[in-house]
Amino acid sequence: MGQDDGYRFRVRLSLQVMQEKRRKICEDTLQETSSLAMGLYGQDADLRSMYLQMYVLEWLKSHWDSMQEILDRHRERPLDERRQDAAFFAGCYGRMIDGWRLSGELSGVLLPELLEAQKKVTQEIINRGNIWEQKCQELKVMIMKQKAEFAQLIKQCEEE
Amino acid sequence: MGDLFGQYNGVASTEKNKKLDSLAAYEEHYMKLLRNYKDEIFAIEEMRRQIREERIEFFEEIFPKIRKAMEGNGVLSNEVKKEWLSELWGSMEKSFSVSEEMIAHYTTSNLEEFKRKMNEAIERV
Repeated sequence: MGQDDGYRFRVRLSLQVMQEKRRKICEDTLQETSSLAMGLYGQDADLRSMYLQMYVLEWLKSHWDSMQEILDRHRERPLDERRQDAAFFAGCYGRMIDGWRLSGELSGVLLPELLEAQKKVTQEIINRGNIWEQKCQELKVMIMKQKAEFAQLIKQCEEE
Repeated sequence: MGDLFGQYNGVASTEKNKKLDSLAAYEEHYMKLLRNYKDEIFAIEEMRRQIREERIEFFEEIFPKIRKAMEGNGVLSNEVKKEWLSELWGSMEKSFSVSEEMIAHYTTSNLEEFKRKMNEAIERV
């Protein structure tokens, strides 16, 4: 009774993902993991900023990765439910990246542009239900590519 | 005095029973709906409680702990410490907002459905 089980499923799992990622950013800060440490301890201010943006990009990416994993893990669900799951997660992820796309301490350099591109694909997942699987894959690849391109950019700056 | 106080006379007994029956039927429907929505009500309450507690824990325990650790770090510049603490605060706040908005939407849509079902029941009463 009440809202359909699908809606509760989506809300519950999205909240779980968000909570996990909040825990992660705090742990990463305390433990000074990888790109975050590069961002904090780098000598050059511009390079530091890029590493911090890289970290935020990775952190945001991890939200979509987890949501995609949920979609992949629940292939037994009816197709229409899975389509709605994808649209819901895309909406949630889209709202997450809005916060950095539109403002934020690190919005000075490249991040907003990258997130703008991601946002367009999340909208397509929601609006173009018939090709949602293709669009999910497109978003996954886009995020991976952006991360690799960002890493390349950082490397170039370091070599200068 | 005529019918000066006529408006204060009680409702006719035949009408009274009808209204009592209606009220009883309304309450019965309401309780039935509440029972049917029990799981949703508990789920929403749990979601709200969890996010509330998590928020309190972050702002009262975790963030102060992180700030203290960073302030004790003699290598990082003050500028970097300030920048990251601000980013962390902002990131967490944005994340909490998205989660709370999701819960609010879920609550509202359940409430709307509940009201719709109550209205349907009232029309039958």
